[in-house]
Amino acid sequence: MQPAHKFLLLSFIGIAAYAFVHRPAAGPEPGPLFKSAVYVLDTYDVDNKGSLPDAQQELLDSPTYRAWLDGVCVKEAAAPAWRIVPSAEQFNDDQPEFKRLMAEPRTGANWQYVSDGKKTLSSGPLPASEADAEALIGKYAK
Amino acid sequence: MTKLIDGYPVVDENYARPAGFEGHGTGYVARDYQAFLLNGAAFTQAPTIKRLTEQEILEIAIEKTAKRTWITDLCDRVGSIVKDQKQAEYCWIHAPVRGMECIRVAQGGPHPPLSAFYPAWLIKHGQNTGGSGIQGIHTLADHGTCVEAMVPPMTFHVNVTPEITANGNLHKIEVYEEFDPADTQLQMSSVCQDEPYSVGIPYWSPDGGHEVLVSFLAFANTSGKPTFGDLREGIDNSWGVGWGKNGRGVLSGSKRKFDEAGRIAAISQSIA
Repeated sequence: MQPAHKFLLLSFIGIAAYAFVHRPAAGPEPGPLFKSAVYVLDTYDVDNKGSLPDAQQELLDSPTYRAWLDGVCVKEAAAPAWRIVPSAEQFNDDQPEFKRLMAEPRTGANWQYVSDGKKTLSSGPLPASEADAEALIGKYAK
Repeated sequence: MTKLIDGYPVVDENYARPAGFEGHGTGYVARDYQAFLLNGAAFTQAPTIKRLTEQEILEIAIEKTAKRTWITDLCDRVGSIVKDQKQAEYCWIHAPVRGMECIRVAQGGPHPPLSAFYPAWLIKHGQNTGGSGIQGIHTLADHGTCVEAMVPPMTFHVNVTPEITANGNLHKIEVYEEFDPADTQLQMSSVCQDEPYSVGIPYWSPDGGHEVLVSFLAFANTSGKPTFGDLREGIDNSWGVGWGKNGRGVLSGSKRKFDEAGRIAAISQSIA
């Protein structure tokens, strides 16, 4: 064997041994592979917000929920891409993704959409509480 | 000495304008409600917003105060401050424009200060004079307003460019409603559902009326079990952050008699 080939072979064996010794310990199953910053659109019945269960009203009013959304949503024009808006025909937003989401079907005024900016990842009734909303969005948001 | 509720100055019949604010304008003139109030006629418009019971309002107010979830708290979170009309007699348009800014903060997205002087120009054409917040709301629904950077404060004569018109169209009031100015319960239902409302106070001071934005509720009596009767309207005034507590105060006594009230419920969103 040529000295150069012997050197390459020994190097390969060394690297393989190092990788085996330092291999990562077995852990939990990995989560979704493509978690990313998201768009969130929450809608509500503007004339009957007071009829919602307390926890849902708190969700819509919450500064802490908004702060959490700030951290997981896409930044567009230096602002996090979330909206908490009336489910109204008059909706007018110059962010195309929010227009697209608002135009999607829903069976109630109190609704939540999560998207990655191209496709809708989640569409369903407004979560029952702030914790539920963060758990649901957290499935998709990094 | 000015009374305080939770640090907010109480604006009642004994209220005197503090030093340093003598030159600040007010500028509210009633539209036609003076006749309405004198005649005792019924307000004919049926409200669309859910009317909460007094008990519901009380419970929501207690909770929002404890958890700091009034729309003013949302504004504080992102640094959105009250407006300053300075020496202009334009309180009647500053109040609804401030309402737009508050709703914009609550709805999400960018929230640059919006111009009060552009819609004032559309209505008054340069006259520095009083007006009606309800008329202001209608104009803001029809034409919107541009960002304040395009028409800054104290700009009485606006050279309306296509850019200003286009920017105004991006910021319109989309959903609004006029309230019976004497219907305290309905008005409080609105602010408890995170929708501020602009009110005209005909006798703010001996020299005239004032328009302000009701943006939260406060409790006049902090000892004992709170009741609906303890609730007072908290306001975003338009005298800058130097007045009151960060520009906010609480109405009491005769200053709670309004002659117009308009709810601002939703506005259009724009990054511009």
